Amino acid sequence: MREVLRLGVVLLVICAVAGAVLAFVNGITSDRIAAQATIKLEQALRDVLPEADEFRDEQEALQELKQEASQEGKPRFTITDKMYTGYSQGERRGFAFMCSPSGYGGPIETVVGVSSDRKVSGVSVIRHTETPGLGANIANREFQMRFVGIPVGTEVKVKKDGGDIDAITGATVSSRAVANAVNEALQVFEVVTDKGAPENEL
Amino acid sequence: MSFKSEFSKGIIKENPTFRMLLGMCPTLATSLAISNGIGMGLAATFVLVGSNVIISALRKVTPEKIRIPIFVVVIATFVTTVDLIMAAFLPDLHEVLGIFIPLIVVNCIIFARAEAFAFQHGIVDSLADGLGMGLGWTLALCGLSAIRELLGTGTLLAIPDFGFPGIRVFDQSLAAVMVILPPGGFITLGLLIGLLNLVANRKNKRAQEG
Amino acid sequence: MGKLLVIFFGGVLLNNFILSRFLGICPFIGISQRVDTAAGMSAAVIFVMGLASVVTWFFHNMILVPLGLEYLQTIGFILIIAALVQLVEMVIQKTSPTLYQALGIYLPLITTNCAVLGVTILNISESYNLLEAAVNGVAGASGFALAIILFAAIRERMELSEIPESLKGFPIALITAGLMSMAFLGFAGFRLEALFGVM
Repeated sequence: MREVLRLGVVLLVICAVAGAVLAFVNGITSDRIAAQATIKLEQALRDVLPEADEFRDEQEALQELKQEASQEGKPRFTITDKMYTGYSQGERRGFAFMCSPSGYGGPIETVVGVSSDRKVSGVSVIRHTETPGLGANIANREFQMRFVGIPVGTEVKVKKDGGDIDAITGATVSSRAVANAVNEALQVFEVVTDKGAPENEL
Repeated sequence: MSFKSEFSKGIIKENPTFRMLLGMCPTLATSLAISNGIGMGLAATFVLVGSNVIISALRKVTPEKIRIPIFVVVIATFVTTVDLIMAAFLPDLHEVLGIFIPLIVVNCIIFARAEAFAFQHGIVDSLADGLGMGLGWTLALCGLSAIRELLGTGTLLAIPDFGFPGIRVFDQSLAAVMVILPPGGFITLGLLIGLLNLVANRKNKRAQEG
Repeated sequence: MGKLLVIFFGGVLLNNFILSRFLGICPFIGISQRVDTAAGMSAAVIFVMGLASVVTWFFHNMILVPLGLEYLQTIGFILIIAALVQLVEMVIQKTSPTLYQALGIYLPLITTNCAVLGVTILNISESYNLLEAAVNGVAGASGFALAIILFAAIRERMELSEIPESLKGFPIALITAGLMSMAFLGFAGFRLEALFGVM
């Protein structure tokens, strides 16, 4: 019995020391880890809407808009997760949408910027699990630039589906997913600006 | 055994991947690009050195009966430390290596060294052993990664963390993507070990004849 | 229901633990010389992985999250799995000697099977609910079972073939696994969500 007690105490002491060490490491890293996700998103927002330097989360407006759109039968705008408005010097410069279409290996978190001149101003992929060397090339700037300048009202499709976008060789599914994201972002933009929802310019 | 020989044995003679066939899961899963190989290898080396030293230092006070749970706690502490530090300072690499960072806990290399070496040897020797084994594994991982990155994508040394696309050796259209997919991992490693066996067999034969 | 089916077939076929996620390679190569031992190991793994998924889910959501101690996940999970394996071993030994004889020698090996720790971490990172976590655990283990039993059957045949000296043993096993993995890659194009009507 005393033997068991002794073993228990030794194990307890070691666990306690381990716990203390980890608490310390967690203390010095937790703020930075929490900040990383925001840093990445903000960087992406700036990339896709370079004219703006201040972004506001329009979560409520997006939910409202989704609800209204879905009353017409089927739910619409299912892949758009977040909507932001971008401002510079108090003036609204455009919208940015975070969409997560499903690619080959899972959801592709894509940020699409649409500027006030009603054109795609930038696309950025912030998280994906596509095949390295193939689908993963959607994260390359060169591919993302293929969407820049597309005006609102265009149906964005890859060439294989009858559209204008050159898909990445061997990665049609991943390319199509990004095209879907851009397509939906343009549609949401159209609805939101026609409705004049958060149009209240400062 | 001197510090130097404890250190160098892990790199070639007792290389954990090619000679001892340990730690296969992370070897296969993370050997997609050289930068991944280095990241994963160094993370595991840090854990290996840390756990070897601590386990060696505690070996006199560790009761034989509960050594396994104690090893687990020590290793897991180092792994979590690496996990948190990577998440804070190398977020892209952390995402790519993903689940394989916490899984360093069950990497048999680290367990095997704790049980077979650190628990029986002094701190300095254990440090050398950990460093050697860790670097041996890192080198093996880099070698395998280099082959897979080159054949699978046609580039070398791409580092997505810094937005560096890598050195293009040949055109993407000539690359054999299969090499970078899971089947390619199995087959490349199988052929590589086969090749090393072939070299070793030849050498043995020549030694016998000579 | 649809989502559970997606998780299950995803785990067994699309994201097979061994052949596409590279989890559990050590037992896959180590304990696959014969079909019957592979089947014994599989049974033990299915049992432990299902159970571990449930227990770690409670541990994470009832203890770690309320206390803000998520960083103790790795260390907590591995200790739970080790304790669980011990416990299962003792219970089986007491209650069913025949089952113990069949599974006995495989149980201790499961602690270091990275598929078990892997599935519990995946459950949390995918934020599955309890039922989904349990299904994912059983699915991952079933995928493991499918792969290892098929692989053992191939290896039994391979013993009769002539293999180049340098490829004998481990290298040829890896190459075989690679060919199996290539076959499983064919499942990757399936749209399970569409098949089971979940979006």
